[in-house]
Amino acid sequence: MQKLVLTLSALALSVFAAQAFAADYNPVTDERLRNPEPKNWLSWRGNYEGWGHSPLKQITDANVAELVPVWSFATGVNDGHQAAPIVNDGMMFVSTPQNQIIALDAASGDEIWRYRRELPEDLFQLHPTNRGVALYGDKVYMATLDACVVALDAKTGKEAWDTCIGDYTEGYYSTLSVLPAEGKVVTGVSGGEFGIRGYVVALDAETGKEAWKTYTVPAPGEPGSETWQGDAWKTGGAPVWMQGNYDAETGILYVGTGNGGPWMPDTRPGDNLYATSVIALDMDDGSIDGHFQYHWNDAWDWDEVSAPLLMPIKRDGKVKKGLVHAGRNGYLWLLERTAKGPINFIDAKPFVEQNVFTSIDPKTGRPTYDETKTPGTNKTATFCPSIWGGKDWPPEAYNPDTGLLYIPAHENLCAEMGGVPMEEREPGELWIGVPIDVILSSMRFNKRVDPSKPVPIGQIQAWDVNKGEKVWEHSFNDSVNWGPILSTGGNLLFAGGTNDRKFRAFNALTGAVLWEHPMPSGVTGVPSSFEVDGTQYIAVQSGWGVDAERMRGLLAEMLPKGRVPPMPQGGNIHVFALKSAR
Amino acid sequence: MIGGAGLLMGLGLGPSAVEAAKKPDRLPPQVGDRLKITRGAHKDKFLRPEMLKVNQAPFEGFPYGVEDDVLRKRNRFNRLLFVKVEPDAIDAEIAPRAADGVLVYSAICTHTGCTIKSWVADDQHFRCHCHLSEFAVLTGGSVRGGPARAPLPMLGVAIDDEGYVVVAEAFNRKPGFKG
Repeated sequence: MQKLVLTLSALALSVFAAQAFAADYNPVTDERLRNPEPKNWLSWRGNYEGWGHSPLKQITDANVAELVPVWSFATGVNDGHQAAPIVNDGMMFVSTPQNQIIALDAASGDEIWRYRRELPEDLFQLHPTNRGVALYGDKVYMATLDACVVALDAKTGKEAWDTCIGDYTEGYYSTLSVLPAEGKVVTGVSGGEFGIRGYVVALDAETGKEAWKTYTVPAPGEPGSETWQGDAWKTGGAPVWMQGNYDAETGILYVGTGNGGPWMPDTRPGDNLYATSVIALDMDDGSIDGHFQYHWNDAWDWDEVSAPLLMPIKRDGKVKKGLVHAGRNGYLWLLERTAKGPINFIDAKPFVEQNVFTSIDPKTGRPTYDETKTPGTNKTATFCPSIWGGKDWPPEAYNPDTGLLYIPAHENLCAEMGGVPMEEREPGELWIGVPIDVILSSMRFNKRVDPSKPVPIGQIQAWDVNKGEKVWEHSFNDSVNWGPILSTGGNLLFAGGTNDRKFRAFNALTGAVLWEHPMPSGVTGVPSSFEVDGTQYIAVQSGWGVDAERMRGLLAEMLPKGRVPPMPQGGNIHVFALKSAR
Repeated sequence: MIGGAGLLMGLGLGPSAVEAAKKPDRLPPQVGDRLKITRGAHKDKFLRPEMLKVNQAPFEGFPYGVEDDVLRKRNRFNRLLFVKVEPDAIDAEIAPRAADGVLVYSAICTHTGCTIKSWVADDQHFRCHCHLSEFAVLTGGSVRGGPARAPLPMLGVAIDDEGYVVVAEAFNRKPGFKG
């Protein structure tokens, strides 16, 4: 009886909590997204500029050693948990693989509501993950694996609308967090391995109706179509699987694009705009008002989907409105954005060993290639970095206090790969032009690596972009690093991403590890920070999978047995705070 | 020639009302279906045992309804892998499902539904690239590694009077995965 009473009490408390949050829900406006309150984490990187920085400073480099777990919550699903816990005035929203959204009391971890999407049973889940929800008005939005966007009432989880923007049976799917701005929510499609033609779509935030749709591969006659030959544009790839960053002052959205499809460059001769590029989209109508292609006619599966960070760059005594991108191609790109859209090249230099580019045009930023490092159909080549690049999707962070950019990187890895003649495309099936067995065995160590000794692979690097210098790096031996980075005002970085399942805090100025905590599974989730009732919290999901697991599995085969530990499965949300602050 | 729907009904594997409503190109493999190769040197041919070499990488294909004259390709769960092994090496329990060493498996991984494209000849297993689940061919698609829990479904096959490999028994478990 006592147990029943307790259960009923807990239920009543939960219902009460849900009612309280429903009554007090603070709608997310454009103004709030442009100037997010430090106590909240309203979007996947905390601000439109993509900084991944919280100004909160209760937790500092001096006291982070006292950080303790406050609550954790099992998501009930496996695989790669990549989404940031999004927090609005004490209410947390987290998306998970299989397109769940869980709404919780951010201070206690009590569930308020949960949404589970019924995904089609014949879905081909190449990347079964989701990178987060968006909050806008009184709704919460999620892009789905069956290429739709669903909008829910943030207070109750009740579905408001559900709009499909692609056909999953053709290989289109969505894993990104959608971007809300100016009455719209902006999404995009994955599918660069299925022979799709990529696009960005803006939907009316209230109704779900399409506001505009912009292909990332131009049709014949459109600007950029001269960079394609024949019908290659129809299956040219350039997927959009990461949220863009937004300049609210100019109304321009900066979106990164993925690989051209199929993978081998000779299957699609030409530069292949706008693959492996950043495009500047007018938020009003979706027109492409500027672009910069990081590398032309991609041959290495170096998606450049991470949107560049909008941050200042000092050059020649002037502060430029910068776009900064640590490329999968291993180069750190410094660009300048302009009010009308065109993007200017400033500088680029490698942040990991890169042996493909032989030069960079100092005016245009266009690279030239070493053809011996460029694979093709019936042509195998070895190149560095690997197909997962110098930095894959896990986002960088920028701390305006230290002035440093923080990059999750991979060093000492290369790849050996070549293509085979294309067969007829089957809609919804892989259409890569490189056999899966070749891809799964492509990774190589750099020649200077001695695998009998610990091998530094995963890294966090700190860069002063104004000086163009690396300030510090922290390497993880025998481990990948798929950890998105959170920067905070307490001179701290938080990140996981390693084989040993640990979530760590680093000194932002020196890279010294100040705190670490073993998690139930590895961390590829985007960390966030928020404050409730005067207490600063750090939140992150653990739950390992997708390409982090593919790379970890390959590494386990390349190193002597026992050097790469097994990775347990299972997703969890974790929240930490200082013991003294509770 | 093995009978089609009649034998299916006789085995107690008759089509459900749902299946009956499906168009022929969406129906699951039916007893008597031939197996059409959809990629490689033998593309568009019906499978015969002599086309496959022992331990060679599998052919990919779909069931083909002879009576309906239809390739049952509009159903992703009909995607199949055809492989040949030494008949004596096949586990006794599944040997009745093989014909001349030919084994026919679902190509859809039981973990999260990716299409299996990888074959490891040394120890005769399929590997799914999505999460590296491994399925042993000689033991009925049993899981030998990775996160999958359910074996890979397999069809029972036979050789018809004209020397073609045909479906003799339905999948021994439902293809696909449970999320």
